[in-house]
Amino acid sequence: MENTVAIDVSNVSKVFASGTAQEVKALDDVSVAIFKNEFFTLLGPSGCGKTTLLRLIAGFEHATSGSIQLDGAEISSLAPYDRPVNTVFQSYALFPHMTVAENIGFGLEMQGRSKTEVEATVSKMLGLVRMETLRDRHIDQISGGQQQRVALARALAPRPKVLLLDEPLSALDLKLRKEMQVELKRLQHETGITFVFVTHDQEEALTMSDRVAVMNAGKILQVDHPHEIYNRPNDRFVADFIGDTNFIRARIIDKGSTHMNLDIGGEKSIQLPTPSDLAIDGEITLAIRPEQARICGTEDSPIFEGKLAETIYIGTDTHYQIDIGTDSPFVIRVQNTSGEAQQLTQGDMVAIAVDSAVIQILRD
Amino acid sequence: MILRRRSFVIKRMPGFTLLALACFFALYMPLAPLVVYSFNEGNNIALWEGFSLRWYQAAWENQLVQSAAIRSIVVATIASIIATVLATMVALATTRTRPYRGQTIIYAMVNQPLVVPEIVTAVALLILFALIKQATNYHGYAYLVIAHSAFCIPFAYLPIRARLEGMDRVLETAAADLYATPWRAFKRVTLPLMLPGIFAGAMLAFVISLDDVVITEFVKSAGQDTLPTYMLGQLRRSITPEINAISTVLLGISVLMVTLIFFLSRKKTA
Repeated sequence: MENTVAIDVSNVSKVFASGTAQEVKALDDVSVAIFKNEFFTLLGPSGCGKTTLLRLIAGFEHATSGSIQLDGAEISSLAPYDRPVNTVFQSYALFPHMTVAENIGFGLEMQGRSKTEVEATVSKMLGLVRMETLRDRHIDQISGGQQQRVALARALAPRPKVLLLDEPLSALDLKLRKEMQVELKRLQHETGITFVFVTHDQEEALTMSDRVAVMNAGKILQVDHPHEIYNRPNDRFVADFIGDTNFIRARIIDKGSTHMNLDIGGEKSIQLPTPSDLAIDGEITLAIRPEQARICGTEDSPIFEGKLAETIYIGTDTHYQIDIGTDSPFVIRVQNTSGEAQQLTQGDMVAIAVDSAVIQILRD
Repeated sequence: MILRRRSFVIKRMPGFTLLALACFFALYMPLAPLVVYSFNEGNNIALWEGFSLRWYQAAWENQLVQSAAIRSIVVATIASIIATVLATMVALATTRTRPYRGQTIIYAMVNQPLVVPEIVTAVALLILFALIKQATNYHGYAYLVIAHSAFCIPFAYLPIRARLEGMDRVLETAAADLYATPWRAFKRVTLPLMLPGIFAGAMLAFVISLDDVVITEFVKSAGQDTLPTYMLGQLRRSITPEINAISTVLLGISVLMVTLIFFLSRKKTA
């Protein structure tokens, strides 16, 4: 049950304005499998191709090459109205000449369901999104947050196999957005429908998703669970896009079977376990999360030392920027648990300790 | 020092209010004597002899006015319906398609009656229809209806196109997403939303057809006077306030239509 594939995208490319000067490769040989009943997020900066991929699944665009399957059946040549897939649009796209109930019932009506069935489902949907009292209102008589709920109910009412959500929360203010995040998770659990969610907000992606696909420049870089994406980014872009990261360029001096020595440009070299799965040589990039490094005494086997350049107090945490001889300072985040910041002054030499297990070696 | 940021308010421009008033005066002042003297008791259109509705009654009872008025309304109704249907189709073809070659040419061709001097179109139609009349010996109303439909198309087209351009295309995408075939999406979403534009276009076309003198004068056969060409004919003889009365009624109809169009086109699109 857990890992049955709902949507199988394989080798899909999409080129806009092909053959002209404005040619854009929006998707470049993308393959991804989305499982049944999961909350799947496509995350990436604007222009990375995430919305294009969503529109291809919905049928609003046609792939230049590649195949898209839903439950094992090829759907890439079907028209949008023949696909059991519904979309929640960024602008909601509610029909302004219809009431809330008429909007929600539209898909069912187009499917040719009976009047009583439409009525019953609309009532159920209104209950699901807690909008019972606004049933006969027109769209311009309800608030943005309520419109959002109607858009959700309208897309869920025909019970699609997959619900596509195109940055649906971006028009809401912060408080409402947080509420809707919880609401969306609840709806996904209650309906058991596969959700494919598009966002550029990494925090939103990490909080809501079962799995996240990070995209950039028309490619999917990594698909994994949120904690894996955060803790084990496999690509410099992923590590940089999600959360804060210290990047350190390193050169492999000698590589043994268990350990290798790295030169990071300072006086000292550092020793790390040799990764078994990576055939690497020469230059590599190390990624270290600011909260996974700590300032230590010399007895605590520091991996490198530096001069404290700046201390930034931000309430819950304190950020220490430490000059370790690389281009940008190394940042360490320390939670302010004791109520008083550590007594360090600018210019102090500090030692930095990092568990070698949390250091990520990235491909370039 | 006090810094005050001033926004540009046109009312503050010196002399603007005065200029605006002068323009309105120039536009509407000539209508005042027309309307006033339509209620004149006497036979003169420039000498006030007391209030009366006798000229309205005279116009109402005049057989020639009656038949011309009915002809005007029939022609305007049929022509505006034909023009609106065609204009709706053109508007859909110029806004609801992917951009294609020749789209600007179509746009220019549809709006051609707005640019070509009316007298040129009138003469051209006169010659063309003369040839057809000779060949077919048909002298009916079809010529008037065809001519009116043709020059009404751009007037019907413009409000419909404006309406369609103001409508977010994502609504039609959403309908398709919710299992509506293209025809049902058109019927349930596009058409109801563009309806105010269609009504505005039809009314504008109706008013334009009702008002037309030049093309009608050239195209009509004997005994096919519309209200404006009948009035033009009357002016060549003696002028009585009956003309004022007819004009005032026409003015009233135009004002009513334009007001309706204004309210229709203000209806929100989203």
